[in-house]
Amino acid sequence: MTDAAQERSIKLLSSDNETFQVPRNVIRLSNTINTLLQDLGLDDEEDAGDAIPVQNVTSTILKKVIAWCQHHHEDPVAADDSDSREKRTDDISSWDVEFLKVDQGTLFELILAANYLDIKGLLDVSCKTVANMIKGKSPEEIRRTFNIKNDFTPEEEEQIRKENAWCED
Amino acid sequence: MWSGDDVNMDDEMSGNSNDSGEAAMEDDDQSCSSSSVTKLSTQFQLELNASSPSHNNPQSNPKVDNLVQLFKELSESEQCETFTRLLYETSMSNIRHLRHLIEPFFQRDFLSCLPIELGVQIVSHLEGTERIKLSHVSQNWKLVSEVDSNWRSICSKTVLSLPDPSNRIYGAWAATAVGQGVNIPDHCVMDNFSVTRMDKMLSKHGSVFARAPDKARFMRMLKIEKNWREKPIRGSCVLKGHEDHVITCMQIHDDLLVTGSDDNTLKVWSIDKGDVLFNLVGHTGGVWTSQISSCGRFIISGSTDRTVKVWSSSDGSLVHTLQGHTSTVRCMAMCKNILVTGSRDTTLRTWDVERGTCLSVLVGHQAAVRCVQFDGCLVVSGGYDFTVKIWSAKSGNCLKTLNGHTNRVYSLLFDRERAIVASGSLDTSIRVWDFRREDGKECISLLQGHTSLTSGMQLRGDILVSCNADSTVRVWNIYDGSCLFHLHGHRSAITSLQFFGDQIVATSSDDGTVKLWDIKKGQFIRDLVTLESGGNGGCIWRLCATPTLLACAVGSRNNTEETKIILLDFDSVYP
Repeated sequence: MTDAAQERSIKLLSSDNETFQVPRNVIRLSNTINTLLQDLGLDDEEDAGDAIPVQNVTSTILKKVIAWCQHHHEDPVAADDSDSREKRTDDISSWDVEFLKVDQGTLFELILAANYLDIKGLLDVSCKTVANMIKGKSPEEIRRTFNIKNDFTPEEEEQIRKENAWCED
Repeated sequence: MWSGDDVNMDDEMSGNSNDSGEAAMEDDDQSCSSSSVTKLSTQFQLELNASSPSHNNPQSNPKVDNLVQLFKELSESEQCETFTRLLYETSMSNIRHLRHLIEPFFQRDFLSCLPIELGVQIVSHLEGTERIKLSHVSQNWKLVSEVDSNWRSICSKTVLSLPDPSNRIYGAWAATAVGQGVNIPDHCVMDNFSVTRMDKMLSKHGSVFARAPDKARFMRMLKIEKNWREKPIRGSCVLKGHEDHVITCMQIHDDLLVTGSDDNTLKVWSIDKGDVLFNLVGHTGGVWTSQISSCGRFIISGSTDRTVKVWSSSDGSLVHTLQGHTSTVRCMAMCKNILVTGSRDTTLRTWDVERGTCLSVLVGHQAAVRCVQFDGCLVVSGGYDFTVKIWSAKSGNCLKTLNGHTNRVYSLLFDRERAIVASGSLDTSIRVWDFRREDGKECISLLQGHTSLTSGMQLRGDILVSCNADSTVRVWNIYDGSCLFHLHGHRSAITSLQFFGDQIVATSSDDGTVKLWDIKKGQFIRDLVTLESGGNGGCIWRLCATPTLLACAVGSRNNTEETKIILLDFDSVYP
């Protein structure tokens, strides 16, 4: 990729038809868009061309995704830690913590968008945030936090009681 | 109309005012985009509907109908303004009610609504004990939290290689080790004992195992760890043998337990059967060192009769007698079928155990060789000449001599990956060496503080734990040489130490006790065994451990305590 290509802007179109101008080297964090641009040979074009439709992502969420990429596009490439056994959730940067102080609906949409756009860092940090919301809570507290109905049958409840008893015994 | 529900609501609210809830209320930007939520069937709302019939059928009030119709005709911004103004016109209890109606708009059942691979990714950020709870939340959460591949990734090698739950109720296990001067402080009472035995008999694989095997493995290991730390000991037994002689060495390989004694013999026991399998008779002097080959087929012994003997572990027959050493064979180490022996004759020898031939003689120590380690390529030896030597097993050449100790070297640790050797000496110090460094500068830290001979050392990462004849345990950082903990409790020399996992260490002592320590917290956990003859001659000579079992060699030199092995069972069935 040439320097000129790096400085270029890409146009993204949200599902509700709002257009966003994003610097090429910011949106490179999205593997989906990156691959698309490379496969279509769009990187060599001078002109920004037509907007790329980003289905399933609303303008509200796309705005946040772009803001995240903007802040992180100069981060060093993280080593692949998929094999590391001990996963940490206490290593979220303070910027990300603030960024992800949103309602669950927004966090949910962000996870889906990060997955669709294949932005590993954003997907990782938003999944960790949900994990942190689960941590330290009892099953009943988890149900209350996420508005989940206890849908176990009495037989299954008994099974759970036994499993608990086994752990505690 | 809501006043009757006020108390109830307050209760609900205090439980509900979590961070996400607060964040949701402040975030005005998102309220419109969340309109996709259509389901609001919270438990709370159902209760609410039941308790207030008027709310059940809003159509019955024309005034309200009218207002709602008017509201519908407003633009979005007008609606927003109306909401805001109405908020200031109503009572606090109504606002509380609204809050409960609004909150579910900002909640999501992540694990149920996300594609399963994303749910699995969220779960992967949780520790095992947190994950166990998830299966109690709802059907969907149970499904996502029990994806087996996710559990495999947090199961350690130890967990995955754990054999199936043992029986350990036959042979010597039919009785317990308690009695006749042996006290196990936390042994469970007879009633519970028989219940546990029934469990062992009936169901080794519980319902969790049927759903998610790796989760069951993980939970079993949690249980085993609890059994070590805090639960009553639910199985113990005594294996009697070697009469009033000293047990000098002990090894475990799978179900085999081998003990060597200065009565010139070795005994091979089946742990699960609680019985002796073979007596290995043939040495004409005391046995002072033994090994079981990694394949489990051979038992090797070294004796004061200057020979090394190779025995078959399947029938107890003598396979080879290896001759060459000219004095007591005092130590040995093995890798695959290659054996290295160290002798009072100042040499080490390498042997092919299967063929029974001597491969090389390592000459260089100026005095008796006392300890040896071997990784299949390099031999590390410590001697009474105060030195540690590194040898090439293949060529028999001495590659390095580590100088620094000012007295005999008695114990060694060898970590090939990091090129680290730790040596314990009668000069009371432990030295940690990096043998890749240039000559004379290999010692990376000097661990000083013990006041007598180090009898055992084990290494976990950067942490070295040592036990000493000065009756204390010390926990060290091998790189900066600092002593993290100095653990007191034993009243006499400590004879050996065994790790369970990365955090728990068992120690045995001449005071007749076996103690358990948490070396990360630097705390005493509990006494596992106490001998009534402790202090009068009853000793625990050494320990040997597997994840589910601790073997303690017990006896005395003054006939106060009969020689025996006490086995403690920490095993658990699957949940």
